[in-house]
Amino acid sequence: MSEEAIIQADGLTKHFRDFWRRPKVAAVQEVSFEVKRGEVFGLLGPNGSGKSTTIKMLLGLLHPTRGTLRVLGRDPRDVRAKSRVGYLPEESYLYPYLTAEETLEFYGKLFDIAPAERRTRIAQLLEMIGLSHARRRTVGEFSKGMMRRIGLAQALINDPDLIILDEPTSGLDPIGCRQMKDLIVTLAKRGKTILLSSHLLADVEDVCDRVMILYNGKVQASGPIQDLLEVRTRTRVWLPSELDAATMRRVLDAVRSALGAEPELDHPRKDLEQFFLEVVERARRETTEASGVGVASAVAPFLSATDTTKPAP
Amino acid sequence: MRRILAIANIAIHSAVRSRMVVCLIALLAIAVIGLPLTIKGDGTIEGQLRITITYSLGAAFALLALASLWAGALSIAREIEDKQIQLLATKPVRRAEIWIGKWLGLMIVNTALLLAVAIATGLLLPREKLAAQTKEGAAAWNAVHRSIAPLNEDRADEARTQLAQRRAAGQIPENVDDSTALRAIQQELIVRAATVAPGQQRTWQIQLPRVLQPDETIRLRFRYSTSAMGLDAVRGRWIIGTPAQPVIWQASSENTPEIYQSIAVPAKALANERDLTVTFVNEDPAGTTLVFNPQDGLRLLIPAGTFLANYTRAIVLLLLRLGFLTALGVTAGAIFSSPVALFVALALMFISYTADYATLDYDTPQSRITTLITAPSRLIQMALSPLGTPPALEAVASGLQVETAWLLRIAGIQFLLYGGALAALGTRMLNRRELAMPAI
Repeated sequence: MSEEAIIQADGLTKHFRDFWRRPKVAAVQEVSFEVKRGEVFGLLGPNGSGKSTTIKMLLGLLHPTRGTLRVLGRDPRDVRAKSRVGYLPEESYLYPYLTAEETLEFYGKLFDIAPAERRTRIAQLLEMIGLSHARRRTVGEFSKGMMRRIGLAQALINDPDLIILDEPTSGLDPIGCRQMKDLIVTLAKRGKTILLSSHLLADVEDVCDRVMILYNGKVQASGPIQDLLEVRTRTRVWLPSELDAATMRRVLDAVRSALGAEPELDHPRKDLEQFFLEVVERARRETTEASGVGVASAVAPFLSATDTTKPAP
Repeated sequence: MRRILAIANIAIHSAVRSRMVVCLIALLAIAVIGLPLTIKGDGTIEGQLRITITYSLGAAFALLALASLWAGALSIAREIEDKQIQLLATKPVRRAEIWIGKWLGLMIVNTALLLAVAIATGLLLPREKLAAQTKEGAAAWNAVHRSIAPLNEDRADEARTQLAQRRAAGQIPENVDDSTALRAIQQELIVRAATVAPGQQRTWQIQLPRVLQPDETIRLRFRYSTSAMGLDAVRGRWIIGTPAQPVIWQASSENTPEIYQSIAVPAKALANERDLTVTFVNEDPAGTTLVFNPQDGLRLLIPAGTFLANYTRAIVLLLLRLGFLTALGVTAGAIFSSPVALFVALALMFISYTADYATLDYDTPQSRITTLITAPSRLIQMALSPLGTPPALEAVASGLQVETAWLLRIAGIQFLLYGGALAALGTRMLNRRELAMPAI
């Protein structure tokens, strides 16, 4: 991770006004944070906490009432900053009458990507999200999960340095969620900076380096996820295999005499997501037919490792 | 440019896949094919030609104008409401590119539809019947004339002389100031000059824009009124000459009042002349007094190209007008939400159609207060007056040239000046507008 700040927000405040320009809602209040290059930063909070408003200010779709905001060293409305940003909105804001391929073609053209390169990237992205077989179907016919996948592909078409994902796993099945999280981790390893917002805490915990928790438009907590979640007053010991009763008794007696307290015992559990994925993987091996979404492949090759030494354009 | 074309392409996709375009195409087909069958003309082939062009093409253009405004107003407003702009605006696209892309896409659709309508109307014109009707039918229906108005006779000098004389003779009350009296005298002189009593004559000065060719035929087009009711015809004599030689060509005429009439004049004797005089002598035995309307009482028509060229000019003019209306719609959509944008754009279009009547007269002497009160009206009049729609289709239907001045006015003022101002305003408002405002 580099020390270069990709996002700098200082005293960010947004008030929404009514028809008569009177302040009505203070959606974001005095929010300050920085996101470094290569970091996966999570924006957490319940509905109405100011996550989406903050993201829309980062994208130049809303203008801060107060405070300063720099994205990739520029004003968020500067097209030079936008050319290095990818955005996956919470809902599908795609044109329903375009096919999957036309959709990516359109957004590729907006980034002025040369036709040959555009075609290569579209093929790789469709392969990556498992929708190569549906490239000629209109987006309006897609399920929500398929739309999210196309939404993700359009967010990556410009090989962005900063990727902003608003509720990235919303509408995805557990396999899609896992793939999304794996992709986020892979992209981060390649040097991309990722800011994501979610209220699915497990998703955030799995992928984020740092988080900021908002409530009522204000920052309630922020920091590295490890620091925030660690309970330093308790210790868990993991033993490699099941112990016989006599050995277990000896270990527990030793702990009791050393600490003067009764230790708690349980067996580690798989989480439900992991179990579900194993079941589906087993079923997939036994059947040959695929439905809606095909098998997603590895990350698109064009999504290059970001050279942290390259100067900003 | 690639970004603008991509956005234009989306605007075309959106328009083509909407049900409105299907309805529009059906309505255009009714206007072009159905309307000429339902409207009864005067029974002549020329009448059919006029109806086909004026009503069918006119109705089709009105539909296209309405659709342009509609589609323009919704193109950005609907995209903001459906939130698709929240993805578009996060790409490296300038707001001006969004405005231009939307406008361009709609104009490509407009151009395709207007061309289809123009070609269909052209194919449905009774050309063969017109050509077969007279010996020189083919040439006659294809002939287009440029209408030359007489030199403006404001009679200002004569009015000033009369004012001095009448003041000296004490014929003007002292409480009437000079400018009021001068204007009244001027009006009186203009009306008097338009009146031709029995046995009297009226002469107009006409400057031709070019020298006539000996083999050409020009036409005198005129219309007069009388105070007498139920007259079939009034007898008179038309004389054409030059200031140096007042009588070069002359012919007797017997024409019905209140209807536009035209007389063919061989240009052979008038070749190489630019300054002409046209005189009408009232020889009516019944002693009828005639009045030529100062605005359009007399015109000299000189040959000016073919029907196809003239038709093309009219279509270009209509297309430029559509460009302006589309800009109006797109800008309204950039400022307001869709129902408001639609209402504002439609209201402005109807107001723009009143431009032809925006001739308020505030020449009377004013105090500062009345100047202040009338200032908004003057401003509105100034803004509206270039927005009138020249009667291009009526001209084509009547065999008159679609004037270059009309084309220049629409291209320069409506399309470039007003259209450019609307583009600048739309872009500025889009720049200022927050595109992800929640509904609160």
